[in-house]
Amino acid sequence: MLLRESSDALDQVVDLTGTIGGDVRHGAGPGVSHDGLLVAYAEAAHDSPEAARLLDGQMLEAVGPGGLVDAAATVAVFNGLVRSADATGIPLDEYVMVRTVDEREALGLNEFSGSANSVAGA
Amino acid sequence: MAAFSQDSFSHLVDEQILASFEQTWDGLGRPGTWWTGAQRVAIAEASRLAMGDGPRPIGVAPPVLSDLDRVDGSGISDLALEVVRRVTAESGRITAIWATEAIDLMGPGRYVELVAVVVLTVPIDIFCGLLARSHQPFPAVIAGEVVGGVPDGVAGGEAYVPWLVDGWKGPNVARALSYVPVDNARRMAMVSSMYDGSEFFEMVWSHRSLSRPQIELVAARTSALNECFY
Repeated sequence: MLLRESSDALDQVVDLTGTIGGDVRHGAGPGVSHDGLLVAYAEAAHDSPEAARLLDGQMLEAVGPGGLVDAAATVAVFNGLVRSADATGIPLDEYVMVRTVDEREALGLNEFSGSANSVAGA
Repeated sequence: MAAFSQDSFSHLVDEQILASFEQTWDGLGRPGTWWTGAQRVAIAEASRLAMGDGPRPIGVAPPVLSDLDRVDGSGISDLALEVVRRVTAESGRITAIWATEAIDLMGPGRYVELVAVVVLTVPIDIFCGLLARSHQPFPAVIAGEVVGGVPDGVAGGEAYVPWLVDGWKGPNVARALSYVPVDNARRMAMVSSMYDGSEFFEMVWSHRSLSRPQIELVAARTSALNECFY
């Protein structure tokens, strides 16, 4: 939801299938800058830090050292947040639940095991 | 001497991130609410090992929790080690049945604080690894008794664990570990420093080198790779 809304705020068009491993396409409008590289960085970081560091050169050229640090920080902190959510079984916040019905269905997010904490009560 | 000095990184790192790491490391070896300093460091050590090992292959059955030794001596029990492994390397496989059993066997305080230690240290190790910095050695243990105590206003609810319910306003993730307020505060300080600053409700960010959509794209892909519904 935050990806879509923050993209809207900058008049950028984002294809959410990129977040679940699909192509990062822009449709009719400008997409998120360097979206393909950023998705590739997140995927490499999920495999291993060594794999992610192979992209450092491209990242530095595209988004600079500050962007590289931001991407690393985002990967790192969300690895903490997902474990917090999974281990405690927190349900999706109600306002997010209501506003993401179509996206969750289209992206198959309701198939994730953690959805049982939220979808059953929806 | 700072554990996470600026010059230990090859790129400039926001001072708030370094401060949150420092705060976490400072608290790691100290007596916690439900675990001693030695036990908290043992949890962090086990978590670091579990990150290296990764998840068990599909088809390899995890041990039955109730069969495991649950006596925590100066270190942590086999039960605690198994919970650390699951939370660290297999969190997407956690179910309500498994979590309920773990919490019944360990008690909610120990379970929540164990999760807190994992989710405070995993991001630091990942961040260091991504920036080609060595893992930080764990801090020295500071002797002392656990503090104990259940915070006011917590109760069971929609999550596996008891959490703040009285007058709560905010996203659920921010109160997920509110049963152990000190560690939860450290965690949210880390989240603020590494993610939203104080601008969560602003859709256009100016405090990062990346734009907010760029950050949310990385965040969303990371969450999906971890099969995290939340």
